[in-house]
Amino acid sequence: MDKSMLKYILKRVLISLITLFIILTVLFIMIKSLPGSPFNIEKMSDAQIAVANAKYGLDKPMLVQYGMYLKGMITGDYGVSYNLYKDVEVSALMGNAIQISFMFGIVATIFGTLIGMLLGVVAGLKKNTIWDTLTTIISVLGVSVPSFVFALLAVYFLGYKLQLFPLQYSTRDPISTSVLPILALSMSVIANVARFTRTEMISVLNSEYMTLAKAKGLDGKTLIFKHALRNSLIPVITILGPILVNLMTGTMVVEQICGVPGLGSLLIKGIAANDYNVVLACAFLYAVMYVVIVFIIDLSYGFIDPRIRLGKGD
Amino acid sequence: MKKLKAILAACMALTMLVGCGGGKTSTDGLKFTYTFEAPPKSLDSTVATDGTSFTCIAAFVEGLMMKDEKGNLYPAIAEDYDFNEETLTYTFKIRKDAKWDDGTDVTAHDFVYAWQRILRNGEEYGYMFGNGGANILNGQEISEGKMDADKLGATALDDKTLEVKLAAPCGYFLDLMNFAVFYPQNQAFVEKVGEDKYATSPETTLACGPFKVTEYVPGQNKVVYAKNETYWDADKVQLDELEISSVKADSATMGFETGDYDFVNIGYELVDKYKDNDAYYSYPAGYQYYLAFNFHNEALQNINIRKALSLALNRDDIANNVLKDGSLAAVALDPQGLSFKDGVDFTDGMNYLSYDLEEAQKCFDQGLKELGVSSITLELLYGNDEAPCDALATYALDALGKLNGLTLTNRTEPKASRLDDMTADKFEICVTRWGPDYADPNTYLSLFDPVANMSNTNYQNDTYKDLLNKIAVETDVDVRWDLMKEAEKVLMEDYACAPMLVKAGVALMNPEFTGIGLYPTGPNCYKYVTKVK
Repeated sequence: MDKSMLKYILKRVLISLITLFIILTVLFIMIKSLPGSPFNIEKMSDAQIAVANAKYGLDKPMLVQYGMYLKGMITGDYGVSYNLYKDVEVSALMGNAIQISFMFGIVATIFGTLIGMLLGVVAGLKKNTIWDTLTTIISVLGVSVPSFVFALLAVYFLGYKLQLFPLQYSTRDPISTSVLPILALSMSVIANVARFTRTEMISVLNSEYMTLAKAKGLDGKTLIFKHALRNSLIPVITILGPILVNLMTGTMVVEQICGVPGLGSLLIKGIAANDYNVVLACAFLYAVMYVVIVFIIDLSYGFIDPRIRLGKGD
Repeated sequence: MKKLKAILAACMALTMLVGCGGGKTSTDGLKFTYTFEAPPKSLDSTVATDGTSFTCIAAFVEGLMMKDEKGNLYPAIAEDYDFNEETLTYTFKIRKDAKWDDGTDVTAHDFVYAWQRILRNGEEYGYMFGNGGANILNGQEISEGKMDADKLGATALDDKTLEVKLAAPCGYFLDLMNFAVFYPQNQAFVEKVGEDKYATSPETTLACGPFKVTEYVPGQNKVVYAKNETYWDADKVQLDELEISSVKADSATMGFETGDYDFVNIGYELVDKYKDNDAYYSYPAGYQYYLAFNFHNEALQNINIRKALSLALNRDDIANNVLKDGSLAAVALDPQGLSFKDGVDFTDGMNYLSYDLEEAQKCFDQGLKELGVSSITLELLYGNDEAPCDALATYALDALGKLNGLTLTNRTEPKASRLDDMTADKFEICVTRWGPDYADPNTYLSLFDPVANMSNTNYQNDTYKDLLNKIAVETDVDVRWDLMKEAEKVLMEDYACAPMLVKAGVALMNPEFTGIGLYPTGPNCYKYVTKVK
């Protein structure tokens, strides 16, 4: 790696850190400004509300509270839940939730990417045939219809009507109860990957080096697997960024529908309950994931596409 | 190409195979699955603040008194009790065979420890020890941070005798003992596992109730229990396994039909669909929905205006045609089915609310004349995430709109904002509800106490205030009952608010089971759940 690349990376890291700090500050202020309280204020007298606030340090000025929170973050203490799961440490809640959500995200991504690639390759090879049309239809649906609609349809038809899969996620039976939510989440992945793979496949098949390989006498199979596939699949990594981001937002509602106790579900419940620490930690984690993904994808462009890399070197 | 097709086919086949594993896990014994919409917030009885938690805790811990499946209080951990009217002292005799499931006895110290723990830690439900609840000596002061927790008027005279001194008479004291706040905790156990780790897993819970916790992870969607063989009344428990799951309403109904759940609450929109189903189950929920009038508003200060607004509401219509879920038209502020004396409902014979549009218009016109105006504008505030308040608000807007000379505007916002607005005096009329804390009329009457102003309506009435004060110190049950009836009369004839509806709970319950205890106040009781013979 040359010096200019290193400088570029360091600069990006610094910008990312500053971005995250600003995000955290804005989140903190916004959450504390929400109307309502995590406590059952309807039934408490003013003096009792004061005691509850003091217990958690909520009576201190916002700047002091923020300072305390930052200090806690360094030692891994993200506070406790005030409402959803009384006095349980947010780090413990999130630990469980992250495991589940990440697992779902990774499986949905892998599954969706594989199926999407398959569809895209087939569509690219059999351009303008029925396969191509089918893939296009699936892609358009998958991209335009939100994942929670798929979740509802899946739960209703596959789970309830046909009773193929259980309706709700359960830790007792994690594999079979994960099928419906993962299917729903992977729809947008399949759609995006299929569309992109098809385009890449077509452009590669029409490219000059493919014509050269054909002229050299290479047969169909080697042609497709060694050259066309490899060259059209690698760029798919570049769209994984937006795909992962889509997944992150998609999980929120899908988790509610299928009863998955993941990160999205935790965040939504936290917002409804005014549970400051839970909302802050979850929202901030989403921000961190987004910033990291964008950062990695931006960097990877340079490595993956030799045209860009070589171009920089000049 | 063939290879690709083969791979695609293989992927699909794999998915199908995985799916075949789906289905219900089978147990040998009798199992009942109950569902709530939200998971419990905590299984620690000193920390819990919500109904789901209270119910989950009551399955494995018992208090001095508990309710049976018919809603009657019975002595649970307390075998017997004595009440001295002069010194306002309860003396409870703890059952000899009441044990924790690690073999140790349940003692009076366990109660003192748990009660002090709540107050020492400044927990939210500490208010139940003060004059909003049990009125235990020094409870109010301790909950406001003015005194130390060990000054609480509860002492263990010996291992099996608990003495509780009250600051003022509390007619519903025994009913309160059924709440999680007043359950015991084994000090040695709690301190051994650590206060912050207590009740965060099956190993860190200790049971003295009908069931014990076998599966629980905070943040996950269910709590699973097995029958507790060391429970003092274990013979009466028929269930071998109990599961309390949290499921969203729509998925829950589907899960009920596929047999995954045995009990599912449904919203009023589904009543028509399931009304004739065997599984349809309506039960008293005790919530009273009413229109709150802000007494700082000039127009609402006029009694004729308030009377007109109340008379313009056809409550039977709302109950029977809008909600149709077994909810009852309100007859007073106190709901029907909440509180009884000698088997007679407190609201028996009450009929303070009626529907008469003509009379309403007459009163309204009279009110306008007294105010010296020809028309008034009022704003109706309601929450957009508090079903069925939105349905009630829509109905009220239509019904009250029929009054000539009244222009109604409306404003809606999430519950949190609505509550904030009410506390900040930023409302005129508001659709709101009150849930009873205990099975006594005072839980509703005290709402309109001018001093505490819990209703946020800024209601002022010296006669009413005097009555409330008398009720607070009266020890004779019959005299107190009559005083409360009088207070209800004063409140209703003053049209302090316009009660609309007593909400019923509607659910689907597996008709193969019976014996579930669901009441307007207090945790659910699964002790007596069994199969129908």
